[in-house]
Amino acid sequence: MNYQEINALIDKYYQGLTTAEEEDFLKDQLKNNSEERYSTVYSQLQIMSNIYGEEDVLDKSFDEKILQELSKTQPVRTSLFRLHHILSGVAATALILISIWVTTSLFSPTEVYGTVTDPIAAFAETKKALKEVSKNVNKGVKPATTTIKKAESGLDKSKKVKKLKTLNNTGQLLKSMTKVSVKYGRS
Amino acid sequence: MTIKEFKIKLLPLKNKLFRLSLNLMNNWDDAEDAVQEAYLKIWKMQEKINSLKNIEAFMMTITRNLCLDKLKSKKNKSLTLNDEIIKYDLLNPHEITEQSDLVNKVKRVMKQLPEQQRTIVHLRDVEGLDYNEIIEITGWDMNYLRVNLSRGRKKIKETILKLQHYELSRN
Repeated sequence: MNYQEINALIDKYYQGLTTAEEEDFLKDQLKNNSEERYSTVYSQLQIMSNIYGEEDVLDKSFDEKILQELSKTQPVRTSLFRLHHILSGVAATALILISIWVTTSLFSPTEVYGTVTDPIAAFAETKKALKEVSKNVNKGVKPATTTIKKAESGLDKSKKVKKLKTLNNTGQLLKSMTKVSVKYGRS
Repeated sequence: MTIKEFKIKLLPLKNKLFRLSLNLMNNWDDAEDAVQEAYLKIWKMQEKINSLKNIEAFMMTITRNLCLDKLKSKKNKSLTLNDEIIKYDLLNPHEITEQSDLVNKVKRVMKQLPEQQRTIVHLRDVEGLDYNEIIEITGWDMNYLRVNLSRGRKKIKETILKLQHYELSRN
């Protein structure tokens, strides 16, 4: 045993500077030493680590008491709050997923039905389509002409009606003027 | 935190808290009440529990502070922080003959120490906490800690020495 080292450690212990490992080492070194200085230190180290015995503990009744108190103070709405919290989380997640889906659908290029990538094939299709259009346009010309003619005759008829209306108005005006002259004649 | 989690994480600390409380209060019932109050207090601080790094140190801080508050409120009634709890003289040979257990003697010496020395000696030598944990619990700095630990240990050493001398003289 290195007494110099031990003495230094003892001094360090009483200055409050030792680590837990140094104290364990000291205890181990002084275990079987009967010298007063060393036995005092050993006793102190030994006693302090075992100062509280099995009788210095709280029994199970303490646990029951505490848990009973806690269950009284635990708010009832805690479970409801947790459920609400979970549902809110689920709803928020669903909303985010839906908005992502909508956004990606809007920005993704939509494929038009019948799209052709080859330019030669595309030209041929365009020609075909224009032919169809002109066929349909020609088909519609005859009924269009008939309709125009009908509209023109209708216009003529309405013009005649207008002339008759104008004549009638003029007649009414002349009648009113005759009445006035008779009135002035009677003074 | 649910009651189940509380039972698993916090309730096992009860004896450590009780020993600290007993060391300060010197009365079983008062010490038990203080620990119960500490548990109820931390239960109400549930939102804080999850953010704590060292819940044990936090609980010990709460317990200690509650004990100190109780002691302060008892100031004019019975005990003070620095009062001698045990009124009999350890050097009285009659007392020594009645009480031969060294452990009980040291316990009594500890009770007679000022609160700061008593707390530090308890946390360091009895509970085996390191200095950083003690600083976290008490809020004291390292120098203050070491000075009071040194004084407390020396006082206990003197008592043990006197008892050993008495034992030797008897023999």
